[in-house]
Amino acid sequence: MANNTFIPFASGSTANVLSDSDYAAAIASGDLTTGFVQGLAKSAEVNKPIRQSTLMAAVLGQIIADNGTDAADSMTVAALESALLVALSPRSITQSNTAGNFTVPSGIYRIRMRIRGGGAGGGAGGGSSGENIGAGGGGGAGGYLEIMVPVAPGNSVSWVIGAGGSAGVNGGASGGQGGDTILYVNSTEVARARGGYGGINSTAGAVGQGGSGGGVAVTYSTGYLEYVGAGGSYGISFGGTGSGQGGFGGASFGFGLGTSTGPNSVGQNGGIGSGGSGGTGTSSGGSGGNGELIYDY
Amino acid sequence: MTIEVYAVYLTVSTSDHPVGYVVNNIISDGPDIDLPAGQAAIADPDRAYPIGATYVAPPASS
Repeated sequence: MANNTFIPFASGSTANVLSDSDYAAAIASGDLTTGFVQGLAKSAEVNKPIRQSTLMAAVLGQIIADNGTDAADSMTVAALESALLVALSPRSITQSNTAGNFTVPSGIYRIRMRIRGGGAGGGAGGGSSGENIGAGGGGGAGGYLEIMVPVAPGNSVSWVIGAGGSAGVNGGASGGQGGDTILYVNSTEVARARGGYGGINSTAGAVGQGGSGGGVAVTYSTGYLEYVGAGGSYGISFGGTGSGQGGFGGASFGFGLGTSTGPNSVGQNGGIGSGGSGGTGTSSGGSGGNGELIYDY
Repeated sequence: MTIEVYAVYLTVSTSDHPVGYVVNNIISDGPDIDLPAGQAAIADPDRAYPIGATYVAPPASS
């Protein structure tokens, strides 16, 4: 444990200091704007600015000590400045693709969170071999949210990560909805990035509708940016039995669009937070990508 | 430790959904997941329980 030896002076409740209003009045009157000069000074007037300056020095010293560095008046200005800037800088950045939790360490009162929901699965093609080619719709991307979350040391921060939606199966279910990525503080939800909606299976010679992107929900934050996930596109039919193109999966930034072309092509799986693309012919769509959470403080 | 999909379902009914209703699909590296009261998770590697499905817990053995 690092030590802070900047200690407040005259900090007791009965300390001999001017009241805040008397001190402000004395400053406003001009009596103290030049500081004390030769002669006797009232002790309460002397004590007041010493208390104020040593109190704030103690605060700054404690911020430094909380970050693991001793704070003492034997240090140079440069050393104290450096230690303070390090203490006030973000300490870590962490990315997670699975459910997790941590306890807020000392000295941390805000955490920046970036979360995105799971991408949805793409729809399958449609029909059977020999029929006109159908093309499934692409899955929608998960919503994205960047927020500043007020916390306090000792709070429990936990989260779940939305799973990517399952791929649509020809003759079975269409692309599955992506899961929601949810952030909790002390078991209370504070933010959520919803999963995208699944691409629809096609039928022979037709095209499936793309799924829409997921939205977001914020319960408690000091500020945030939100983006609804990109929607998947319709599948594209080339007509006849030759070929088709599965719908594009919705892209989540940093991860591109996916698509597959051919008579019986499986859709591509989505990247993080992205939708899977649609399949063609008798083939399945692609799975949606899992969501994620990134935090720094 | 295996990372797999879990289905999150209601253990207490809400105004919208009955017990067993699957409200989320999530990724975790184990079953110890911090969830709000009224929800539980079951490993679902085969994706048998998409959002909106109903999970029926097996009866407790005696």
